[in-house]
Amino acid sequence: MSILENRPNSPLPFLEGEGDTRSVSLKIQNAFSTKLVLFTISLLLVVLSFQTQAANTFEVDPVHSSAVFRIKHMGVSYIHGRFNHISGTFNLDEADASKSSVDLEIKAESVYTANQKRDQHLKSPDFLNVKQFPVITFKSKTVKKVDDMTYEITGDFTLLGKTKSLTVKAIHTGSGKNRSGAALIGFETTFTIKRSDFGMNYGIDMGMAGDDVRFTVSVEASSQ
Amino acid sequence: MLFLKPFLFGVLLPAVVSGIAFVVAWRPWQRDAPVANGIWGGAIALSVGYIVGHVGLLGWPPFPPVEATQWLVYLALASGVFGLIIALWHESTGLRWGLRLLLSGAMPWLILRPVLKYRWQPIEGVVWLVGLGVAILGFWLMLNALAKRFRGASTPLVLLVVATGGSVTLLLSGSAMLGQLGGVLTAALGASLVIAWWNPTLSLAHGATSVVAILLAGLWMSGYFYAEVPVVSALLLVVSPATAWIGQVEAIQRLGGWKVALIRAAAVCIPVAVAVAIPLVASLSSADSYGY
Repeated sequence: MSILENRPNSPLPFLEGEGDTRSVSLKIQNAFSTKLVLFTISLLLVVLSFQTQAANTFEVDPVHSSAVFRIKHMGVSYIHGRFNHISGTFNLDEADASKSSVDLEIKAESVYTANQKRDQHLKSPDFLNVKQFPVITFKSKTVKKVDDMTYEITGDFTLLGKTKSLTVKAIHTGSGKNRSGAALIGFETTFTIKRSDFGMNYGIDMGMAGDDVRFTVSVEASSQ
Repeated sequence: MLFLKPFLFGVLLPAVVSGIAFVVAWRPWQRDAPVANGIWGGAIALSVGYIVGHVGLLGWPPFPPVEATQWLVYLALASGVFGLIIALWHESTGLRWGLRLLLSGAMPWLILRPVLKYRWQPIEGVVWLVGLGVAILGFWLMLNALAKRFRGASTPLVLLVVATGGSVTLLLSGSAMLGQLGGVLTAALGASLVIAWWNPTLSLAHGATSVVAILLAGLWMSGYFYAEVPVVSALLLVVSPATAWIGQVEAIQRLGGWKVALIRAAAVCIPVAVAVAIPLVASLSSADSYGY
């Protein structure tokens, strides 16, 4: 007899059997045990799923990441510089790369070329205009896996308030664990932009500084 | 070749365009023409002269502008139109004050929106914008009082000194682009000086001073908030035209004519020179050398 059967005129119909209380108790215990097991399994699955999601989200380590650039001076030689502050996050789904995403931000004011006057000029309205546009950002729209080590990422690159679509190839440079045991992952990408596309025209006509700027961005990120 | 484009668009073209507009307005060959006739020309001459130079150097800006300095073209246009209206109807007090208040209030908000977004708290922003609006209005009134009082070469010469000093200060404060734009206005004012020597009845009151006040304020505000113009330099530039009133001293007045104009200009040179010296010294004291 099912414990779910309704017994009329009985305050606890499901507890009453045909005179065999012990078998009813056993049924109840079994039912509860089953429910408990099911609940525990569900809970474990939820916990595991969160852990799995957390493992795929990485936060960029500014100390071990860099964004360097080069630009041609007077058509003769390359000047190299870097941005000292890069931050962001990316989600990496190794099973399905299309579900991955990247969100990076560079503080424009952190530009550094080892020359104080040049750095001041680069921060001015002539170039990076850092007080009006404090950050340079890249937000991915699509991620494709090209091969085991390479991803093709297309996203919005924003500089001086203008956003242009940019596609880069990011190479997985390595994986590991940090001292706390958190997963580490590294990527590097190189790409070139035309600064005039973003309204940064100073010096191009006069041939003082080139239009093409080549960036190499290398990030190390740890799981959250 | 390196500096051909900056010279062509930053100096020659604005000077020529302004000069043509001033000549058409003031007809210097007709010295007996009624004095008030050419007042309308100042606003158009300086506004168009500046726009031609700015666009020649940097291209026509999008609307709405993405960068703050791109607003300078539209402010030149607006101040040119307002200046023209004020010049033609300068006896209408309400209209004059209405337009001045509108432009003095709108200009700092347009130029400083990024600062409002990234640096200032709301109340701080309101205080700054109101303060700057009042300062711009005061500067505008000071320039206009100067232009109404001193006809001929005095006012163009004074404004030329102030604009030149402002341009050099901007250049030394880290932005060659802002310095070049200051140079465009300087070149346009240079044309007014040439015409004023030719026709001493020329006046920059009402119309031209509207354009000069708005553009100088816009350039210096951009230089202070977005480049590295020192606050003392900015303040000295703003008050420098007031020193031209030294020409009203009786002993100087007795010298008459171009000597008084030169003394006025020399007086203005003092605060302007200090304004320029501050970023110059800072630049020279830096250990790094940096050239193009």
